[in-house]
Amino acid sequence: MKLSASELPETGSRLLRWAFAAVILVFVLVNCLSVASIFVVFGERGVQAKSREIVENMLTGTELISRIGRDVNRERILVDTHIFETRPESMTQLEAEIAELRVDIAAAVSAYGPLITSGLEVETSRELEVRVERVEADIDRVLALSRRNQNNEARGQLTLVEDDFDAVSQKVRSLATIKREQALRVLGEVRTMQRSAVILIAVLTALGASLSVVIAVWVTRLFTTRASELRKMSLLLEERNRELDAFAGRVAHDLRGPLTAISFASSALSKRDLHEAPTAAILQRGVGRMESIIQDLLTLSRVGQQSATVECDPAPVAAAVEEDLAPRVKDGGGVVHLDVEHAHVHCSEGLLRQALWNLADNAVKYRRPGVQLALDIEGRVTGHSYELRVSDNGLGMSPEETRQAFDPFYRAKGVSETPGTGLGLSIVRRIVEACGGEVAVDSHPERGTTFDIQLPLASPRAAKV
Amino acid sequence: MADLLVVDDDIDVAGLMAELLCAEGHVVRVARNGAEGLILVAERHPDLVLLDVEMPVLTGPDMAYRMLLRDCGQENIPILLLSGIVTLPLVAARVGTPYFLAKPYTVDAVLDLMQRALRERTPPSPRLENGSHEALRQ
Repeated sequence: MKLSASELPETGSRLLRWAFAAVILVFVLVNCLSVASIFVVFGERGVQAKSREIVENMLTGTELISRIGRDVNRERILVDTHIFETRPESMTQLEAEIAELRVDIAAAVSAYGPLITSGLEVETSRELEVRVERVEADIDRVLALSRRNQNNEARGQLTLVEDDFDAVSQKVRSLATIKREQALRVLGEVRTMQRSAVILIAVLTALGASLSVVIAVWVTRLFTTRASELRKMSLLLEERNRELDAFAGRVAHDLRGPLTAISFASSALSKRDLHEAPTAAILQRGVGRMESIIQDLLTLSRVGQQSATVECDPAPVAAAVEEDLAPRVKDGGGVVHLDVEHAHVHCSEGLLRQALWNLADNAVKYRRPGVQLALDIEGRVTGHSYELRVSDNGLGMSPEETRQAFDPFYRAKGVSETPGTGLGLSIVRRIVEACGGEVAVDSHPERGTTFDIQLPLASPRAAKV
Repeated sequence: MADLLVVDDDIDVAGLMAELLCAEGHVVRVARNGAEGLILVAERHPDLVLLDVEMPVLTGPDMAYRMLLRDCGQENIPILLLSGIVTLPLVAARVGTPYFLAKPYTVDAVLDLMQRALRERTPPSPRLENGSHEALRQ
């Protein structure tokens, strides 16, 4: 069997393309993962919320601390005013304002509690509370002296308030500093974490890209080597096919020489002695059969060389076969019915003609004695293929014979008297398969035989001509 | 009656053909290869050369080319190619002769084609490829 090696490099190239596609896919996936990681790190809600919470804690805490400081300062000013105030209603009003400030201070201190996040802050805030309470106690004493108009004593007491107020202010600044430093430290940690993540992602991306490149190079080398091997194998197979073809030609040539000698010798024999004419005729028939076998074997060996990319229209091919066969069919009183659609099929005109000729020739050779031969050749486009049907009402074959019909040199029982090499149907099958098609046979003794050939269409556009 | 030259390395085929053609009343000479054929052609121009293709020493097509290159009347001798090679029609086209017959042929087929060649006397009209003349002269 001829080897169709020209497709091997094509297969290698196809694999190479798939490998490249896989590498590119891996590369894209790795990079997509990296980009997704970046989004996760920078866009993750927990991180964002944490950063926002830290900033809000710092702002709120600083605001509360400042409020405590402002309120205490305001309280101090009001007390100072209270000392110099002589009108009772004004003094009452000032005391009311001082009371409101104390409520506000208490609220601020209470609100600040949950914002405390470190031990140092706890300690400092307690000290602040103590200082505030001391200031409050000092102010109460000043107010009491002021209400009794003991202004000089009140001013002396106010000096103590100033000292405690300075202490409060210092604690307020300390707390604000602690709060800000804490916030900056946490935010710095978050930024450091993000920077680390970016570096990690960049490294991962670079590794992924490098890995993809390495895989790509490796796969490319692998498939290039493979393609090269396939190309070498293809060339080797083509060389072997050429050698096989040359061998077949040489065998045919060398067999035909002796056959010619036999043919000539039989002619000479019959001319020398007329009594030897029947013997010479037998020799001539033998020579004819041998030549048929040689011709069929040559055809069989060359089917694989035909390219499946060529195409032809089955209609004129079938018409030509019918025309060539018509005299023999009419001699036997038979009829040929031809109904073949135009189309373009993947098969060379010569091969299709050979296949149709072999089938139609069989129909004529193996017709039933006493029955008018009816030979039908039909061709139809069916979907993406073309169906050629050759049917007759001849001798037909038994199931056993049908199974072996396509075997080389097989001849059905009872037809050995009919000239033939037993290669005709083998050639048909080889031709059809070389064109990428299939052939099937349905036969019944004394009813006839039908061959179905499925051939691929050249192109959907060319289906209808 | 015609003067014929049979050139074939198969001595059985050449001998039987000579016998049969002589029986038909022709004058027949036999050569076993192209080189011997050229010598016999030079001795006397035959009416027709029955030429095998594949032969030792000098092949049939080479002999035909040399007859052409001598340009002394040999180029006008019609040639009947007889061979069992698969590419005989191509070889005949290259030699430029319209007369060729594939082995195994019958005597009647040879006689029919021979009569036609003798009647038409169409000389070979080869398709010389580039460098063929130089190659043959060497």
